[in-house]
Amino acid sequence: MKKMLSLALALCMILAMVSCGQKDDTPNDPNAGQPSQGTQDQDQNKPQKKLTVATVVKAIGSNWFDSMDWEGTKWAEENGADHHYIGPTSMDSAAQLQCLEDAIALQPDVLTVVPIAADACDALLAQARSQGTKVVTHEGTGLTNIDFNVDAFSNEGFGINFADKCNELIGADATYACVVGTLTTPAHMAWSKAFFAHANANYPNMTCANDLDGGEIVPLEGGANSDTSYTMAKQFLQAHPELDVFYVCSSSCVAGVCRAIEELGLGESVKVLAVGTASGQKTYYESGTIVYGAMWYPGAAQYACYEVGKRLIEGKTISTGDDLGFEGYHSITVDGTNIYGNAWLDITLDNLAEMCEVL
Amino acid sequence: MKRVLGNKQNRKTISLLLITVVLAVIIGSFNPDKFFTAQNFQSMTRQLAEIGIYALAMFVIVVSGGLNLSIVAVANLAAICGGSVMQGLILGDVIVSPLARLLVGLLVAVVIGVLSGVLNGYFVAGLGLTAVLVTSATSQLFQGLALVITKGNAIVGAPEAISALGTHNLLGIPYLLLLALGCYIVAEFVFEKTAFGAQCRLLGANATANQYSGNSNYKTLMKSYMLSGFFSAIGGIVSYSRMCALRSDYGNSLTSTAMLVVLMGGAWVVAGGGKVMNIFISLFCIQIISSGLTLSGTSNFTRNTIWGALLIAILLAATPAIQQRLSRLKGLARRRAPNKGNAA
Repeated sequence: MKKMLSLALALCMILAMVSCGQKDDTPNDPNAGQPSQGTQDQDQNKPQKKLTVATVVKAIGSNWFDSMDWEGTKWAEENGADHHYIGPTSMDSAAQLQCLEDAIALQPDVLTVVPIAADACDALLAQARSQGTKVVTHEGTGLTNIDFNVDAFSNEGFGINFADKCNELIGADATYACVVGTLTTPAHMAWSKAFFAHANANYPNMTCANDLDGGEIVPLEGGANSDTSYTMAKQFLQAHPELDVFYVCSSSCVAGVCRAIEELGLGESVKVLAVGTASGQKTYYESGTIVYGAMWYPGAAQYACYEVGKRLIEGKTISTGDDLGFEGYHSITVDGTNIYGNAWLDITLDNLAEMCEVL
Repeated sequence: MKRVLGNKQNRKTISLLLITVVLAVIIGSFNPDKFFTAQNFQSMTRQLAEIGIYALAMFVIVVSGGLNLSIVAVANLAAICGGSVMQGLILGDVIVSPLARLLVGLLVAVVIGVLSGVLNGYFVAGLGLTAVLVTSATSQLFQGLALVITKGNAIVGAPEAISALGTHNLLGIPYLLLLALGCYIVAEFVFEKTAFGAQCRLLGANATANQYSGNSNYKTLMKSYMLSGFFSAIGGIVSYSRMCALRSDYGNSLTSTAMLVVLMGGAWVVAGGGKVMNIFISLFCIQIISSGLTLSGTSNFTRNTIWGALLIAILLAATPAIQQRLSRLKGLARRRAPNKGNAA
């Protein structure tokens, strides 16, 4: 009796939720089935219908990703859309996946994702697209279930630039090691691989201290925060005293690596080429541990992502030379599903103050 | 009806249910157009199925008075080994048919889950070490093993059946929810109907009493760690089906969420207590808070804060001192109520 009652109550609740949903489900289905008709409908409804846009980032609470909220809000205000900024509180792929599920349940018109584990997001993004959401990723090269991936620049060019800078600032016989956030972050991997390939081809005297897997570089994993990268760098420096330079691809790892170098008293002999905010790493530029850095403004990429999504909904095509309406994205390059801007920002000691203003 | 309400355990189940329904109504009203949809129901239940199975793996140990911090690591290791077999990366030459690979892969995952339970059980029950220490150490061990197998890379791809499990629905109900429901029915049976379940509870409430009742603490603990390993392995398969990828470091945040659910379900509050049904309901409760807040545009920091506040509230409500005060207040209210009635 007692169990029956509670079971019955639970069942009622579940059934109620399902039945509530079924009503909303039916009008959506034809849209999903026939995408061409769906876009027409949306075109006709456009004046009345307020767009819903959502972005899922790696972790909320840092300036880097929060800038995507600022510019996303700005875009939403300009276009009269409803903007949602979603992300886990710590960089964990399971937590991000749950955020992504919730974001898809919002049934947004445009969904932007900055994936932690790209392969894990791919399956879910297929669901998002099947319900008619336009998926535009950032730092998501190589994902298959997307409409477009917007990056600030060509990943290959970015890695090559760092290899050139390594030659210029450290020397043609430098011993280097690449550090990524996680081995599954596509952008970090692409830069490291481009760095490695370019160094191999053009600077034969440079030595890679990373592990190699059948001729491919296996970068070090710095992890999600500066503590993990600090430990990693300290251990690596003890194992490889001959190291000259770290190429750190993840903004969240730079501080940890620099701290490890300075604490071991190696500030003079080991240098860092950094990716990430100028303001967050200001002290290490000033102390000379970071000799050169580059970054992009994620907020700008967010603005561009939403703009791409909106144009897709309106049925427009995206092609090379288009203007997405934000500094650095005034003339884009389209390569398959990849969109590149010219939004690359160099950071050196000379322009440090100026760059700190940006982020 | 009176008997149903009179029973203390049932009162708890019903109050949990009420809390959940009230929460659903309140939080749902922030964004009703999106919250009360089949879409959201499916998304929520897929998420809670994953957490729910991890919570079961935790619950099995918590009931007997321990704590298992290695559930996620075991799940990852089991899924990585099983998944590698399914994709033909291991034993690919021997087992060729996709169906055989799938079945052997599942078997491998489950066996690894149970074996890890044997290891945990040996340290805790056989050598008498503290469960928290043992499981956090073995967690590192299993994660290390998984890291060695995958070399830190993700193994991408999954057989059709696995990816369908993670994404498809049966009559609008996600397969994952059905799987979780199945696991909960098994657990309900084990803990309500079998001698082993009763022994677990007794062990949790008073280990010495269990020993003197002629039960072997060693056997009971060993079995419960094996069962926990089994559920962890299933959790690993569920995570695999959701991601269609295998990673050694997946889901570190899931352990704490699983603990939260188990705590809410009441397993810790009463030693040896806690009902499987309550845990199932608290799953919905937690997921409604999580998804509802996200849908209404609140940040995940707020969600964590609310989860924390909820936990403290539950812990406080279960503290004997507070309970005494509450019952005294109730007594006062009861005594006053009739007087007021007369005066009016």
